[in-house]
Amino acid sequence: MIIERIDRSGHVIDTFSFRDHGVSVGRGYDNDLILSDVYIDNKHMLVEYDYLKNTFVVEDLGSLNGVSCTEKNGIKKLKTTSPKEREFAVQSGDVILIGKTRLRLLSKAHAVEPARLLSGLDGVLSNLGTWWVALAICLLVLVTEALSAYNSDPFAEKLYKDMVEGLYMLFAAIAYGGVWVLVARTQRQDGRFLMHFNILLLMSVCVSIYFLLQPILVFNFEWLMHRGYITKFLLMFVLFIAVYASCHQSTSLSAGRRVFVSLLLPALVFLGTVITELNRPDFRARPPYNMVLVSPAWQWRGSVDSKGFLEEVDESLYKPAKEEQD
Amino acid sequence: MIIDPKKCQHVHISHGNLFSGRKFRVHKFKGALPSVSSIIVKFKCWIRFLPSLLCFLVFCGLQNTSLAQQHPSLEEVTRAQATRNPSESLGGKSATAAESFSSHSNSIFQIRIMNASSKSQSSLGSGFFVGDGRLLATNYHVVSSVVLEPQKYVAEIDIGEVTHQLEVVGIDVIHDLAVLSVPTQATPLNLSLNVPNKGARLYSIGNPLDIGMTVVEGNYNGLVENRFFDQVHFSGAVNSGMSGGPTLDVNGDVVGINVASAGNQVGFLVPVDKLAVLVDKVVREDLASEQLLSDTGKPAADKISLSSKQLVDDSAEAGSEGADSGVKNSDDNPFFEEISQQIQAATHHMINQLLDKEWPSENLGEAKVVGKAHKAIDCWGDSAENNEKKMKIVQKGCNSRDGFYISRRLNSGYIEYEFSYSEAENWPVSAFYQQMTRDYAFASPGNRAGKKDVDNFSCLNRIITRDGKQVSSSQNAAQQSSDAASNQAPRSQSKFKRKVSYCTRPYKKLKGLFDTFYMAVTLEKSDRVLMEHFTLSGVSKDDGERFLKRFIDQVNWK
Repeated sequence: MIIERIDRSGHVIDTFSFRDHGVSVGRGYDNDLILSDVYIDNKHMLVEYDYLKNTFVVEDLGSLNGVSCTEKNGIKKLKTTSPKEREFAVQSGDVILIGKTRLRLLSKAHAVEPARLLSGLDGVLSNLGTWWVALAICLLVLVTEALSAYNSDPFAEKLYKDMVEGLYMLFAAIAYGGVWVLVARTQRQDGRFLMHFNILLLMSVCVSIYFLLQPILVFNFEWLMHRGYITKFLLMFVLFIAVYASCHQSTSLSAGRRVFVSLLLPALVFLGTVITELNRPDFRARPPYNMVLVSPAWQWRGSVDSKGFLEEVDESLYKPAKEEQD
Repeated sequence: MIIDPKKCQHVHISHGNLFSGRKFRVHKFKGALPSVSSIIVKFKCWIRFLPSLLCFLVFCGLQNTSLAQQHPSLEEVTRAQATRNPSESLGGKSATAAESFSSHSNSIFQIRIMNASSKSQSSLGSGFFVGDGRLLATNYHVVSSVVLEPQKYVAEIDIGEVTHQLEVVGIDVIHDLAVLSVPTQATPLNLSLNVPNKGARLYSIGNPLDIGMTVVEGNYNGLVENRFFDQVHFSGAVNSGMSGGPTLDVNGDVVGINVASAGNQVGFLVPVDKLAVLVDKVVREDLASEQLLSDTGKPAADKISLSSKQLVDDSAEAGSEGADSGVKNSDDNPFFEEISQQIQAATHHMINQLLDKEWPSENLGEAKVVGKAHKAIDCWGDSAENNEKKMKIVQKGCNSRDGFYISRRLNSGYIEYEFSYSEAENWPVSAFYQQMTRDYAFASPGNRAGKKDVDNFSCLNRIITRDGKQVSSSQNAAQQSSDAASNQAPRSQSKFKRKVSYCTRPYKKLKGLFDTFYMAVTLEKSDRVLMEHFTLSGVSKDDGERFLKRFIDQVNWK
């Protein structure tokens, strides 16, 4: 028989295979299956497999907290509460609960899920978690930060003072990597700290490059960059990609659940955007004009002459005030 | 016989003339008193002269009276001088200032603006009776809260022990005047018909800082120079609280209304002719309403409003171009439309004054910009050179000085334009334009306005290109003929490329008025930019567009 120790969501934590038909379970060291749950008695229960009926017979050996049974669909519950109900039968695949430990009982003939195909992402992520990639990305961070600082103040005496943002990115990536290593450990997966570290740092570099190019986009595609929605969308997308990749490596969640988990952080950004829009003041004394300027080499936008501009002013501006609602 | 020298001092001299120098002898009596007969015997020779003497004495008395009037005694002279020369004797006010105050104090009162809910005063000013004695004149800014929020504020004055509530019946926001009707009558002040001479003594009366009605002596220094709208320069200590009070000449006639102070004995008055126009307007409107009532038996639905242009300087352009608000006032307050029309007329006048002239072109760094376009425009400039940052900035700004006060939140009728030239040395081009973005991205309009006064700005951002080196048509023709004569190919003109942002916002209650905001920055040079900007507040659409059309093609590179 096979006994799997599982969590509440049914993920397998440990798998035990026994040749004998009867297995004793408890906290004592003389049991066939030793569990460290403090809510389990020394000799808690006995599990026997009936080949003929293809069922498991569970016998409570007088435990304090008893034994509960939940069928595969999770609806029916049985518990050994009285001496007369100390024994019951379960099918292969049913889950029993002793103390706070869940055990799934399986026969060796029990069917298993077919293998999943490794995705191309696995290969990429695998290559991402190497030292030379980490060094290259750190170098990219340094370059983008230096460029940004230099553009802000070419004659700054101490340029490194303006590169502090790079340090924040570094620490954020370290913290991110650490969190996912912990998650992986609970899921009995490989930690892969470097991979997570590199993923977040790479996404940060992408965002930094975007902000370097943003003036060009705002100057030439003003209609698209209105109110910064593109920037917010990019941030949400980058977060989604990073969390999905880390989730893919550190957990065994299904694709749907990975997508759900990956959307949590972007949802926070979206919520922040919605709150900002709702709290936007009704009245602003300053005119919302766009005076983002770029060097002549990056000016692709078309132009008009003065006459055309004046005609457009006449048509589109000078609208009367909206009537106030008392 | 003893002649009292005090009474007959000068007469004594004339006696000398009349009696050929013979002097009177003063007799002193010694020992016992003599008898009457002995006295008569002694002086019998003098008795013959008694009738003459009596006539003489009568004559002396008459002369004394007339001469005393022409040549008063020393005591009287001293007393008179003391009252006429306060600096020498009393160290305070002249008799004329005191007389001025005492003669007219019954016509001048403190105005209190009371909040209807809290029953407390929210602001103070001064005012004086004019016209038929039932009208009180003051500044608009003293009663602006009553004009704009009549349900919330009330104006009142105390005459004796009685408090009277006032009703605003006429306003002139351009010259900051208001006329209120009073439910009682008092002696009005006369409005002067003559312009005083420069240096003439004036007496400004009002209640400064709520310390009591005060008279301030000063001098008339003519109209303030170089202004769109007239103001009198008064050299006297006008203080807060005196706003709306009269300034009188030595005859007690009003020559101006206290309106502002720049401190240090520099005060400003509204010329009395502006008040005369407003009072006349109020009276005519009142008569017209009464006529309508008597003809039809129904009161006037709306006040008949005379042309607001009458309240603007005589040089204002007549006609309806640009002055028609064209939109009905949606609010119950009839003054909103009045204020809108007045501001529109005033800014129309200012814009016309600016556009009627050729604008001078001045150098600003490597660019040519607009200089002082009108004598009433005030221009300033500055420059900064940062050797560490290798950046040079030259700036010039011009404005129409103060706008028109409408309320605590809102002022309007303000015109400003400015230019800024920036030049960088050895800057990467992208870094230079990034710095220029930071410098010019967060400008604000020059006037203040609140959420209840105006809507949000709407903006149009475009890239505008024109041929560089804009020259006048005569210069262009001369250049072309010169090129043709020397068989040279026509010179190519560089493109003058700018990013332009133009924004407008409508007024909510003052229909037909807009604030406009313009900013443009050049784009074609790698190490220098020129920024141009103007703000117009309280203009009509037509005036705003006319000014923009003129301004937009003024600047160029040298």
